[in-house]
Amino acid sequence: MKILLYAKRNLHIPHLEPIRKWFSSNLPEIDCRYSSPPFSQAVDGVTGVGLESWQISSLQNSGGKWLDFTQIHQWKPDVTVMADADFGGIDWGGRVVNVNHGLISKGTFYTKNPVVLRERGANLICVPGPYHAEILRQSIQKPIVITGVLKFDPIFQGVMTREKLRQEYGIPENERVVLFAPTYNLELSAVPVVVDRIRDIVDEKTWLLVKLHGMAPATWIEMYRLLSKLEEKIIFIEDSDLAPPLVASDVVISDVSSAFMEAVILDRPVILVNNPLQRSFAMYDPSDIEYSWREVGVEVDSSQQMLLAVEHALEHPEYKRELRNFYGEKLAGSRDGNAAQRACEAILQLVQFRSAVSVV
Amino acid sequence: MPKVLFYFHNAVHLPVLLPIFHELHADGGFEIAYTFPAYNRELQAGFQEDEESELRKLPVKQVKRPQDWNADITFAGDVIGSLLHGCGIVVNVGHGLLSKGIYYSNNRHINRENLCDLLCVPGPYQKERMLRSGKLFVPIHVTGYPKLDAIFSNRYPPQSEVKKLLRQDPAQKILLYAPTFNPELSSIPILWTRIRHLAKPGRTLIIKLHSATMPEYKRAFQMLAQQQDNILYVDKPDITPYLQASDVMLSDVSSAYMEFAALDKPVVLFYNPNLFEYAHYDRNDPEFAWRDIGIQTQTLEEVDSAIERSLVHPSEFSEQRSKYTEQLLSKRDGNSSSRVIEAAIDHFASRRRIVPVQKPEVTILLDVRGARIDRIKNRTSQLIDETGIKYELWFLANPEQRQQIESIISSLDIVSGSITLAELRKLPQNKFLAVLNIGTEGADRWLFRLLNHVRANDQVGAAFPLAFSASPVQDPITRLGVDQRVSWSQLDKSVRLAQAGNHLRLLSMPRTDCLISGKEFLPEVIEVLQHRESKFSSAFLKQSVLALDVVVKLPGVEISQLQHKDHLDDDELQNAEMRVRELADWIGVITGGGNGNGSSSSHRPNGVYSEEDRDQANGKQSIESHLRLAQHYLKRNNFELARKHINRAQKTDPDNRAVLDLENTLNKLRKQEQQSS
Repeated sequence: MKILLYAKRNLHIPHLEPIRKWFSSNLPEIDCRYSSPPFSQAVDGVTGVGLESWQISSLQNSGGKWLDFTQIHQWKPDVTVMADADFGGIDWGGRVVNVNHGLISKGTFYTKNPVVLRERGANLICVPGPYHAEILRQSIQKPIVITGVLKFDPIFQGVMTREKLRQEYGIPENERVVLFAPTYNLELSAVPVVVDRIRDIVDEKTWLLVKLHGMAPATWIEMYRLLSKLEEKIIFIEDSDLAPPLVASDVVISDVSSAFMEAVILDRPVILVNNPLQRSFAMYDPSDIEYSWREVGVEVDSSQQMLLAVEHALEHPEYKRELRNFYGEKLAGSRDGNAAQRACEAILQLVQFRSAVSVV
Repeated sequence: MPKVLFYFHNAVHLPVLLPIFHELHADGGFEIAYTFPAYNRELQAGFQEDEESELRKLPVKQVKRPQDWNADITFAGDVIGSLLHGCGIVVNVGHGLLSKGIYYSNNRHINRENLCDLLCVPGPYQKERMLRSGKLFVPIHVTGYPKLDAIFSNRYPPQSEVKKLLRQDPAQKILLYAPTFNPELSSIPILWTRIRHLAKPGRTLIIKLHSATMPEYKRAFQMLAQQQDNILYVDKPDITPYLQASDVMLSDVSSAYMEFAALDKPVVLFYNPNLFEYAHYDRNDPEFAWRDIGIQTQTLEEVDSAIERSLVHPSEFSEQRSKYTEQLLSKRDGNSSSRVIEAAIDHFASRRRIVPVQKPEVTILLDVRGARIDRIKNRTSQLIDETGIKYELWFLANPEQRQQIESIISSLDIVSGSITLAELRKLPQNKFLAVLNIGTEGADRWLFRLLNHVRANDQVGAAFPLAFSASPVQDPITRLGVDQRVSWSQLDKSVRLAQAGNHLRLLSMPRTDCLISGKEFLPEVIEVLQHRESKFSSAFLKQSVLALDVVVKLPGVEISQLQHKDHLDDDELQNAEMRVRELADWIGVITGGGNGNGSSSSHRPNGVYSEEDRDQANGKQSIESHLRLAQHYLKRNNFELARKHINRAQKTDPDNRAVLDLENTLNKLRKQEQQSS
């Protein structure tokens, strides 16, 4: 059997890698390879695609096999596994599985918006939690399997631990860590609201990790990179994977990014920055969960309020824990570290029986 | 060779624009093309298949989008200037003598006329009415009416010949029925197909309906023509041949009857009793005020008698016809098309811009701080063409730039002086202040159009353009005529929002490097410019508009390489601090971010939260979240936690129905559990 892990963007890797690792560990006879479209840089306002050569090397160094894009047709995969519903250009045959890459979507994935119909391009859809399955079921008649969050498997299996990651970052265990993980849309992001004032969080016992979205504008990247050079306790996370800084942190600051939902799943207090332009976002829908579930965190409108909220959250992490548990279960279902197994079993079922069974 | 575009929005515009087209084409000194939108009945845009045939005959190129031709001059027959951004000088020649309260009237739509560069109107009446509104700032030329040029210049066959061409006996009297389409105004709903009784022996009835007439009506009258030999149904867009051929016209408030009256022929006018329901009804408009131009009727019988009377005494109302049409259509020499062309070329050649005032109304404060001297010189020269207004220009400069800038001021007489941030209060006060960043770029007289929002509306104190850099803030759909991917229907939707008479409220804190403000807000604008932490007041914001019809490109920010260095020395650290500040200003300006001023003041400025603060911050949702959690725990038979949340919800709202229901459920479940155990 041949399985193609097709990473259209680097942020898909953390969701595909658990699948590769599971097959590699449990069914090594399956030929599992990575590929991606030819790389093009993100330009402000236009999404980039593909992987840079260093990202491909990194995958290979981790044990992944690489297949050049031009050879896919010849290789003829039985299944193409993607972490997105963008199936344009997938014309080499075989089944298609979408394992998704986020918990929320800013009006483009788990929504009642007609754009969700593009999910129909997949033969099987893997979703993190019961919430997502319920939403998609209203519009899509394809098999849907609840797997849990794939990229969190190492966390729930105890492989990726807070202590280990803090050590990697060089952060003493007894010091406090705040993660700033905003989205990239100008109308939604926390960045234009807090800008460089995020640095005020840092003090003698508090560190700041800054993890920008892969599509953040170059000006933002520059600003926070420079801040990390100016402040010893600010670390700018270059890697695309949000999971490690999330695990290392005590409190998370975000906006409408799926980062805040990931933080909720991991029971991290969240501070949610509201951008005043939020409602002008083209896909804004107040019923989407990134707006309707904001009670799970503390909402702030300015950098000053953010500072107060962060301080309080660091002192009282138990505040809103119940709500985090409540929503975490809806988002991630079973948090047993076996999300990849469930996804892989569904993929195998798809190939063996030419259809998968919905578990909704 | 100058490039000219003819924009035909729909079939109604053909009779007005085609005479101009033919005249210009005959000249041979212009490169001409035409365009028209896709058919959309709801928007009254485009052509049906049979109507397009007229256009296909034109011996010039058709372009898909107006902007594709890069025209120097564009002729249009309506207030659609917003669709014609980037099309050179836009000349609106209108398409009728009357307007049913929509065009030549002082209403909220009149501001749209400013979106064109030049207005050509048929007569002094239209010009006077538009000028009297005080809201028009474009030149208005009285040119006459191109549509009737052929008749007035005797290039048209005489009436008898035209009758023959229509296969009518020259001795036969022809009645032309040309009603309007609005149900409240039109004679159609009342006369309906009983109109056939007017087609008596010796008379031919020609029915020419407005193109916007409902299809059901059109079909009914078409059938009528099939049933009776002396009834003709005309489905061509141009009424001119029938004006020439006919002896008397029956109409209601259509512009057609004025055209007929201009030929000194009798008109019979039908009165629809519902006309007061018409949204734009104004009894002072000519359609309603000048009814003595012909015979007023209210029934079919009266119409019949009036027609007979008109045929017998055609010159009965000649004096009134002359009096009124003189005002509406002054120049009846057949040279109106030439006058339109002349006005357009004159405008193009001299590149004269607008604002028929002597003293500049506007002070432009151009922020040149940190800019190179050659950049300042170039930009200053470009501003003249780009902005489209007369202004008094001041540079906002740093003290150390003063000396260099003096040299520019002395070489360019349009620059009045330079001023520093600290001296801003000394800035001379004109009626309006425009604050611009030197890097801001726009097109199509963008500053003029921005100024219109403030000039034309007393309720507007300041206006901001739709601004974008490489990363647009606003949705591309609203970037009129700039985004190549915008479809016609999307553009039209945007036009409806952004017509100069309509505007949207500001969504957030505005930029301070591109705005126009009225005099009354000058102190506030200066305060905000001088002190970075200052914000505009709510009164200012309430009276500000985000002008969707004005798009500018703001200066971008170049990315530095400092971010990639592993270690920074002391100088580099200092540069990095400045660079961070610069980037923060650039990034945060769209929201006023970074300064700690938010819209919510529910939190204390220092110290931690109290229970009260927490609840207040999450107040409105607290009862819902307690209810949700209570239900969640009830499902899991965790009665203790369910009780805790029900109690908290009750504390917030003791009489809440949902809370009481939950409590009942809890008690029931508890009882059941006790019984079973």
